[in-house]
Amino acid sequence: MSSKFKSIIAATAARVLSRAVNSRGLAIDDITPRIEHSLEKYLFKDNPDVTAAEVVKFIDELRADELCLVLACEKGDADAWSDLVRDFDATVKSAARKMCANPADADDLASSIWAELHGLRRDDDGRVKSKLSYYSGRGSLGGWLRAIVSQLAIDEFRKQSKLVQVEENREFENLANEASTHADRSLVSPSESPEEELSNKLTATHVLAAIQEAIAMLSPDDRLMLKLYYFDDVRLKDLAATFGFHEATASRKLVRIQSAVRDLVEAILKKEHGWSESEVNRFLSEAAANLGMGIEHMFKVFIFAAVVQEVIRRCVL
Amino acid sequence: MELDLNKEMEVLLRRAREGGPSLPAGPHLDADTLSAFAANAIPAAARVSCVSHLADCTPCRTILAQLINHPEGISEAPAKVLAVAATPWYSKLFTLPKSAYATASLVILFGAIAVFFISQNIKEKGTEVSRNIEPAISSPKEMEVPSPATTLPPSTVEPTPETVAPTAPAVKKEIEQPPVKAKDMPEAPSVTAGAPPPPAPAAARVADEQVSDEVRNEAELPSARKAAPKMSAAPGSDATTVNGKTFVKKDGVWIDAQFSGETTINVKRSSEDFNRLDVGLRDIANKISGTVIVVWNGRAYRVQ
Repeated sequence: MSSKFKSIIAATAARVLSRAVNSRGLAIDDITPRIEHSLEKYLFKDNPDVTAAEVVKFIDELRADELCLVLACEKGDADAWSDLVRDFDATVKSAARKMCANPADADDLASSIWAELHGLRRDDDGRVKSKLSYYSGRGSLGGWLRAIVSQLAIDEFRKQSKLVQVEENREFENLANEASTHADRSLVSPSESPEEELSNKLTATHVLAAIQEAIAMLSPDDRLMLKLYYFDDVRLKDLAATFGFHEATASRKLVRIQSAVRDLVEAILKKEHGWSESEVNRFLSEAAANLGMGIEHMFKVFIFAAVVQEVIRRCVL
Repeated sequence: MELDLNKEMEVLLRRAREGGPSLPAGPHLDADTLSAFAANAIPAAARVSCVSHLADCTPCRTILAQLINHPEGISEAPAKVLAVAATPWYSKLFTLPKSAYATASLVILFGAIAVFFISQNIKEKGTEVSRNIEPAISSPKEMEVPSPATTLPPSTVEPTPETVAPTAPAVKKEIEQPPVKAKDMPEAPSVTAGAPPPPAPAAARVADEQVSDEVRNEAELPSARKAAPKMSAAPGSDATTVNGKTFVKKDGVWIDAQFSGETTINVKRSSEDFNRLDVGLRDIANKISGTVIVVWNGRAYRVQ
């Protein structure tokens, strides 16, 4: 780290402490190493031409209260630990419940998290190792804790991968196994003849593969946006907030990305399977329509069941 | 905000999540980086490498999506509110001390309501009793008008100096005379202002000529209000005769001697139904305060 930023860092660190509602008796020397580590990780590592203004801006955007809380906990401040547990135990437990099938496992996971944070483990030199030392203050402490819970849950699941998996642990499975090996990726509804069904399946497989290939050809930003929206069901406004632009901008980007994927898929299908323009359009429509029919059928059944239930309730009860 | 998306592609893309390679570039992102990324707190230069990894790493991207989809994880405020509000407010109502207070409050409230209604009932009954007793013991100054049913058009009245103006004191003056006679005579004169003498039933033709004269005189009375019912009963007695019909008081109700327990037609003096009754029946009802059961033309009427 350039020495020219030392004085700026010291001055800005003092501002962090003054910004905090409760600085917990920390001194500039307590907070400066953490700030320098964050700068190194997020600013200097990927940008050798960092300006002083960028350094100041980076430090000013740190979450002062949460950083002070974490640093005080690392110093062994009992009050800080009480506040940390009081304020974030619910967050940890909530995250653990989402990762575990039953409450007992969730409690165990939450307890493990707190143990990790307390630093019950010791490194080879005998020093206490605490995950708190990894919190930089850039993101929220709650978000950091949730991420810690998720990662620890994945590690635990991998260790216990020999045990029988229950359906509720599907999320675990998807996280731990990076690539799905599901063979049954049917995009078709039951058709009249086995030949048609086979044909439809093959078509669907080709279409799916073309889509995957097209997605891989997108830029990382576009690929990430597409996956977060379509695969992870992130809402448009949340997606926009994460990427730092307006919701309208996010919607326009998604439209553009989808159009790009369509163009790529068409090109791939034509090139790899020799399909004509009309065949590509027809097969894409069929694949989507089959899935749509399946969904419509499910909706019709659901609506019918709801109507019947309502009629019975009104007439009988 | 609605997206103008190709529906086919949207369906296919959502199904495409189940497949596809996931070859992360570099080591997984740590929790601090993921939380900072979700909060849009990664500087632009560092963001590039993060995006490159996240675009191809399903586990890291999934964790990122969880952080994005759960706002409490990326909010500035800590989870204090969650910890404090762990118990829903409605559950707190059922905690022991609060439920005890609530129960006690409800008991007091219902008790007060019950006492109020009971007192109202007692008051009404007391009013009826006092009405029954008043004609015998009260002075003529007391003027109770049982109902407004005796209203007559002004043209039927020929006011005289002695007659009652439609004011309470004047009416009192006129009524002074009848009570004297009510004391002396077992049958009170029928006072239906402006109305012809009712055709008394055959059994009730004991009314003598004096009474009919008085009726004529008193028919000139304005339509306003009448004195308290003229009953021939002595104060405190349980029997009386009105217009030739004998009534016995039982449980606060004057019951026609001819009443044999049949179903009664209930009528209130202040109602339109009362005005539609026979004049004679109304006359009797006006003479007896409180609730009275009168058998009239073969039917039992309960007037109150």
